[in-house]
Amino acid sequence: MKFMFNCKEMSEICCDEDRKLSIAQKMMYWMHIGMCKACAVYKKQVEFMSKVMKKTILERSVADEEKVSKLEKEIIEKISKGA
Amino acid sequence: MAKQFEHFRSPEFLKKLNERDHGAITEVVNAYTTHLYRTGMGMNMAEEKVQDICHNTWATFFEILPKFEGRSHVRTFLFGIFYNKCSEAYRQNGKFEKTDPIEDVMESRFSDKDHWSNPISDPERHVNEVQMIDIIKKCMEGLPLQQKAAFTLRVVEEKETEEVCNILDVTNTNLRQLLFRGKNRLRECVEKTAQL
Repeated sequence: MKFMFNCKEMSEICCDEDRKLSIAQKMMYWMHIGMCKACAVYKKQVEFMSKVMKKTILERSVADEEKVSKLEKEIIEKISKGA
Repeated sequence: MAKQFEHFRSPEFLKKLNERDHGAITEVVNAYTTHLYRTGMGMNMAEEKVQDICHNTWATFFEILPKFEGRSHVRTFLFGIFYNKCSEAYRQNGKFEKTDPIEDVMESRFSDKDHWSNPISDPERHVNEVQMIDIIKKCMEGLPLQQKAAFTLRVVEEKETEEVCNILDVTNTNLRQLLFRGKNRLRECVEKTAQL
């Protein structure tokens, strides 16, 4: 039986928000974070970067309503004409 | 929002689209163009390019619609086309990479026993938070499209894993790899830039 994740596994877990850990695995994970400074720093960095990246993408994801509306009309016209 | 467009899955609606029914075309184009537009802008593409890609995406969508078997939602099918168009644009700009150097970088980061071979340096020791955010934004530009797209779809838009896999045409394992590589590539770039 395994009692501890190694740092490579920790790096994968830190990047995988979908991964479901069992209670025992969660304990192993937090124990490792408590003991390994490198993994604690890595985890903090990955979380911060993901947060900034998400915020940046959301800020950039703007669509001028008028431009989109014009574009929609052009597309509808083009597709309908091609019928 | 998604439930509002559930009828797009129905054979009757798909038939109308295939027959180029004006009402059906208007409905589907108005339902998703803003979303396509925003996604393109979120990937930091020039607005004109985004408009071009939207045009091409819809043209291809209607061109290949007769082959669409309705196994996935129309939205998934459409976004799959959209990301292919974005990939083409990236390739034309020479931003496309066949191999990902982050694989080797990450391998070299670990010792034989899979522990960090060198201590992880904390960029925050060299730069403040505002500078750090600037560096992250710059480094984001260097991410390959698929990694950026995986992050956008799964983390920003919070789409279900299955839908993201269908849109990007990758397996669940590949999707995890894309997210892992993207985050590490970003981290490596930030670390390197902050230390300069």
